[in-house]
Amino acid sequence: MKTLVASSTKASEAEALSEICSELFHDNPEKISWLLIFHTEHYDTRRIVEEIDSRGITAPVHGGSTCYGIMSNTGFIHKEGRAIGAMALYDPAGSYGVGITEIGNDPEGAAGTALHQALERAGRPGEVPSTVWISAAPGREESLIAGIAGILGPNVPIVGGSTADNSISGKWSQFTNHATAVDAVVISVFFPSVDISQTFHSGYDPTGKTGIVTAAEGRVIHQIDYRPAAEVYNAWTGGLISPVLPTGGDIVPLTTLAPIGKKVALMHDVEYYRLAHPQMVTPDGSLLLFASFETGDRVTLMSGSRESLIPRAGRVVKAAMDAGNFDFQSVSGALIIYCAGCMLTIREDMELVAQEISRNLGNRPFLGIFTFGEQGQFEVCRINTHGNLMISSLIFSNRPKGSHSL
Amino acid sequence: MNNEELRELLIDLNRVRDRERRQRIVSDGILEGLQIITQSADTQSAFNHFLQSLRDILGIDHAFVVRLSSPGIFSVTATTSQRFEHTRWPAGDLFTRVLGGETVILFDSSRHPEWSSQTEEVRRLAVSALHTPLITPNQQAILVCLSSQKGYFHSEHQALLKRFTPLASQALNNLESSQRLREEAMKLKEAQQRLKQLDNLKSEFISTAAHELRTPIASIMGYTELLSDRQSQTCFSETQKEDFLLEILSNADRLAKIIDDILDVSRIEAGQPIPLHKQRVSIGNLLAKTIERFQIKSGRTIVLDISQDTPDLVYLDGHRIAQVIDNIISNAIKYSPGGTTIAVNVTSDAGSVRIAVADRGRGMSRDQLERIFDKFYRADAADSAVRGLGLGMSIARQIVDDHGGTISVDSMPGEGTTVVVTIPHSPP
Repeated sequence: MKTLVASSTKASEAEALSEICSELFHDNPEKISWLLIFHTEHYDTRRIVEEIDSRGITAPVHGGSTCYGIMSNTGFIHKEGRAIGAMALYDPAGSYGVGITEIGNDPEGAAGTALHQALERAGRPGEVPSTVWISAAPGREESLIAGIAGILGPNVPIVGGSTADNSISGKWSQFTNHATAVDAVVISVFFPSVDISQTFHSGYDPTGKTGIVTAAEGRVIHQIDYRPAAEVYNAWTGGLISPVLPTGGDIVPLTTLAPIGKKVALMHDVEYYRLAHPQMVTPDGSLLLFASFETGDRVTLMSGSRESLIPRAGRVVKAAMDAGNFDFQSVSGALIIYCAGCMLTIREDMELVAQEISRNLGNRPFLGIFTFGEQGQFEVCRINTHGNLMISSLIFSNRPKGSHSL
Repeated sequence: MNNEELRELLIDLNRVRDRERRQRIVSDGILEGLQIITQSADTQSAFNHFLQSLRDILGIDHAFVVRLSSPGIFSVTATTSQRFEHTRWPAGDLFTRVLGGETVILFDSSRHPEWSSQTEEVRRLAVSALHTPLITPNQQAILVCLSSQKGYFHSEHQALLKRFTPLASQALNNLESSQRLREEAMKLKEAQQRLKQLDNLKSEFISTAAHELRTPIASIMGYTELLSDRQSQTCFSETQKEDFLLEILSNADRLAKIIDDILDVSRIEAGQPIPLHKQRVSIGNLLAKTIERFQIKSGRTIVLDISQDTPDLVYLDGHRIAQVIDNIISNAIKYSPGGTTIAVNVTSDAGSVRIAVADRGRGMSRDQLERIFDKFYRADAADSAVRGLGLGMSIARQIVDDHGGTISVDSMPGEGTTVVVTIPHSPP
């Protein structure tokens, strides 16, 4: 297994792809097993696909958009919020496949269709992959995960992040070798010849301020403990969103360090939370978030700090290294999903975040993308979930598959 | 350390604890499974116990083992359910990959081409399947675990089996080896017993041979002394003296035969063929002369019947076949009462001449029949009135074998014995 990562901030798609390909394709591009490309909203997805096609890349291409920039072992990369990054896997003994489907009104069905496409493309119909890698338009990730789990069972790790733009204005995109979309789900399946390891983390701390959701609809919480949700949230946070409360409005920049959590597991006295980032206050006092809740859910105000966000990604990577029993020599490369909200909160310190990841990976190549929602599996309780303000990491080793058991 | 860092530390600790917990569960399961296998009586029951223990450890519905039964086809060799006993799979990509060492999990077997040919019932029982290589005592095999639940199997099952199956294979191999050792020990013991029996027979043979040699020698010596004693000579008439000489000749002939038999057996023991001088010989004449000689000597009635379709000239060593017939008739006379008839029937059958010698004697038990061709074996060693070294039938078989023929004995206690010899008419 060989992993190569490249990036560019060139303005045109042709120049950027040219720069990336010169770094990635030392060998014949036909030898690539899987190619991941993520770009910021400045680039035209169709032209990127044309460029890929013109370079004779036949490997499955998994593409999407990232917020503001990318991260790699060379640092936090962007030029005024513009960047494109790619990772190529060379694994001739493995099998990889990709599929893409418009989500429409049937997200579960769309995920299933994309999954089956990917399995067919990998030449493994009916087989359970080691890991599913997912990128989708933000909004219905819970249903997408349910669609995949409904087919593969609940235990296969589903890892990825929701495609993003720079200002939450719908300029996200998804693509594969020959298809582009703005409201689709792209799914890759991995049957690698090497061991891989993943972790999914939030790190935020529960504050002890909790309540029961008494009215909710998808990603909107109308009431907590029979009171308007925004009002409760504002009280819990000591007036964090007071300026917006009377009229409603965007609260994303204010709430990154104070998400709402839902306990998903309790293992050995440690509670595991799935986080949701409050996005907006509606005029009727409801809270719109980036993840769903149901009436009856117990929710908890979570607390984070800028200081913790900087080393956290490195810790998540270290946890994945530990989980896989990897040392630096056995790492081929890694993919990092980092919440765009967290990135925007500590943008000026992102270079340090990249360094922390790199240090914990032994300077092996990695590609980090910034997403509007993160998907991963809580390792201990094996629950696949969609959350916000989370970090997902997926490490590819160069050790033959099965070298490490449990 | 702030609360967030403390929480992250707790999560890290939890991961370690959880890994230890899972490892313990797996180890316990493996140990339990191995105990069950090693306590099994034989490989087949060990296999069944192995599959049953897998059911318990993995919480699955069924498991079976498949092997390549013919080129391109896998068949079930052990299973937890009779429903899979006659199930077959084509050796396509999936099974080939598994034989190559890969573990393959199907979330929905109906989607896989290699499972699509299975019956509706099998597919219903095998909604999800895990295939993993298994090195069994005799050859490579594939272990298939099944669940009727869609998407049941995952990497933890895979990891557990990766640790369990090599140990189970080793345990099965050990069991197979110890079973083989037990069988080998049994065979050795049997061989030892046979050698002891042979040793006893040889001792008995030496004693019998000494007796058999001493009797004619004593007779020869006695008559020779009488003839050489000048004083005694006057007491005997010329006719008596001729009778003495005939007795000396007869006993010398008997001695020569005993020595010939011993020489033949020593050749056979040394793996050397008995020298044959084959030529076209009249089987009718050969049998008639032999029978006549016995009739004169024993006074018994021996009836010879040769069917008309029997060719008269047969390609054989006349001296040696006469030796065989001589031995068979001699036995018939020894083991049948004086007043009974011995029948010699000659027919032709499928390119061979078939000589059947039947008596109405005491017959033989099954045990005696089984050993009739053994060297040094005498059907009734306790009967000292019956002379012989127990070599005749063994030599007879070797002579007939060397002619490309067969010799068989049919006998019932109290009803007599029939010995059948077949010899090809022509050279091969």
